[in-house]
Amino acid sequence: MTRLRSFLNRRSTAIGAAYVVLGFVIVLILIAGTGGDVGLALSGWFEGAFGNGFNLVQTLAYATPLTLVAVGVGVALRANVVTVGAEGQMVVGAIFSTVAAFAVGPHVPLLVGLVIGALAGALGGALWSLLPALARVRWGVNEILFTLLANYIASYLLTFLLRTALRDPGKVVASQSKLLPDSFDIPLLPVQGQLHWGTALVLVLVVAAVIWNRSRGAFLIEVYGQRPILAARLGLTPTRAVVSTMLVSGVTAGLAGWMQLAGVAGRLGPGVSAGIGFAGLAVAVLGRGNPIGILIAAILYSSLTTGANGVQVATGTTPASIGTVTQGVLLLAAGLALASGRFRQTLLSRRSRAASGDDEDPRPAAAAVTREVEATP
Amino acid sequence: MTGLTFWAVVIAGAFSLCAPIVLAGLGEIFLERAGGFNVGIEGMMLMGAVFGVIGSLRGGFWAGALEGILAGAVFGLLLGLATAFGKADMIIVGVAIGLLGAGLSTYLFQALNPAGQTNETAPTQPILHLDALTSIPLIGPGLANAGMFFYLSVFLSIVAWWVMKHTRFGLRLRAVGDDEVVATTRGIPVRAYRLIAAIIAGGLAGLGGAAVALSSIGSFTPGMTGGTGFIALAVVIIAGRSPLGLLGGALLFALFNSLALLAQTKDFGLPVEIFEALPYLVTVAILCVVSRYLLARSKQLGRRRSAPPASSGIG
Repeated sequence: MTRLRSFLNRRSTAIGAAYVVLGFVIVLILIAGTGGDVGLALSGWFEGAFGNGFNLVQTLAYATPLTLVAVGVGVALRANVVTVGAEGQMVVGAIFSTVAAFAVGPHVPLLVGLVIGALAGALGGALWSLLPALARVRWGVNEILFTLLANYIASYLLTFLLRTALRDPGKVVASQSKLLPDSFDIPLLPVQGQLHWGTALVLVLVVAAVIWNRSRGAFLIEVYGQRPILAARLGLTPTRAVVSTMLVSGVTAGLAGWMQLAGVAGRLGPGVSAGIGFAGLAVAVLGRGNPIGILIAAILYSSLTTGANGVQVATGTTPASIGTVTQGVLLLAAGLALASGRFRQTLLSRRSRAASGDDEDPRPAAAAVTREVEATP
Repeated sequence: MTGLTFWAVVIAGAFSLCAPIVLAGLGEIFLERAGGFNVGIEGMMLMGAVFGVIGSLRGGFWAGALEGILAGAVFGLLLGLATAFGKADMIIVGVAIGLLGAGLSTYLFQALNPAGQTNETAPTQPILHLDALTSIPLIGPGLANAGMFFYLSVFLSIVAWWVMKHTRFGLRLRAVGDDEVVATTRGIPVRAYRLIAAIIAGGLAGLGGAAVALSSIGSFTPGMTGGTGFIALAVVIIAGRSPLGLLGGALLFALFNSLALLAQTKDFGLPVEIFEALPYLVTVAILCVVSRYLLARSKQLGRRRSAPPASSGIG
């Protein structure tokens, strides 16, 4: 059985690799087709992403919030809950952190400032994810739609606050807040470039996620994602599964918002989320929900963004938006590769399910879940 | 008198703003009736917008509309192939197509118009000038001066309603979405129908994107659809996937949008951002109410008939 599974995994990995290679070839054809030099583009990408210490640190710095968001989204994905709301949750987290920092003021020790900032960010992200979670379990509202729309509401809230209450009165043109008090800034790591201690915290969280992945809770969540009825029989109700996983993803996104605020920008500005929330979902899928996979996927994904600037500099004609194109192609390839793996897994599990006689119909639990499934388009 | 003209202006704005929502939403209805869901709708609309501008620059408005449809349809084909034939997850492919569309539209625009070059403005939609309608109170002036995209969306809504209700194709499409297994046993090529639905969805999303770019601006800016596609997704659900309901729902949301645009130039005593967020807030609120109603109804149905047939047409 295990040998069979490892064979299948190897095979789906090979198919996945083939899709990814095909995707990169298409991107290179696109670059050539729009008058770019493929060789220059490739070396430009490597130079921009990893070429020197500074660029490498830039890549790792962008991978930090990506990993954080993706670890949380990955937990929700396990339960088959798709939250596209990390973008808005980051924004609200950053707003909460800013408000907390200015409310407490500069006269606290660094450690207290950091803890308050992080907690406020986590709280903001959690609140913004609780709304769609409750709407889904109470009224069957599609969480994808709710979170998508909530992102726009969060961004208008940010614009409003930056124009009014949180605006730096000293600045006339750009709408941004004052610099955070020093005791709220995340200190930088002793390396060349802008890498802060938040990166270390993210690595700790990745390790924690690896450990959690082996727990009973993680297993139950996964069961809920595949067979909600079975999970209900094992004691995990749909309400708890959906609310808890969405809260986790909200907390990580809120923390990511705090890190971008207190570790990178130093003040609240309109670009605090900058697409990181969406990218986090892509990274979670690419990493197949596995924390180590997510870490690798985040660095790869991040290298496409930082490398794209290198491509633009090196070729002079190929715009940096080629990075986003490549990310889309990569995700599409991953989706197809996952499907070729999952299709076989479904066959496998159907066979083993028939063998263990799990096909009887547990009516009472089924009714609740079916209702929910029906109400969620 | 000033109050009346004010609302007439708001309504006239709504007629032009509803077109992208209706067009993209109609495509989504075809897709959802066949059992799909298109998270990548914004990406398709952006491709439609950039090709709409390119086509319109080259061959006038209709060439732009056609190229917008084609660009969206290619992405729809991609979605259909990946989900119906590649068995990939709808949501993952949707997010990928959203990224791809956003990236590729920006890339093509920047590659074709290098920075520093002045952008030409493409021909925008023709205005029909139906002067006979002007005398209708309140909505008359708006109707008379509405652009081609508005009349196109009204026309296509009726066509879509008719196709869905009265043709063999529509019936089979709904059968595929209602129960895949039954449809297969009746000899309907399920995957082919899903593919066709995805291509229609893409083409109409592309036309909707072209409507964003060619309504009055005539040029492309990265990310210019700004969530219109997501609003279309929500309105489709709220309207119960009916084309005529979509038309009504889209008009309502366009009304709020139009109000938000006017709020930027006038002072209504409330922050501008509240008006800007209003379409999204209202969408979320109505979505909650409608979902709650649907949930209650499905509970009732479940109580009355212990085992409802899968093809009972819920939703």
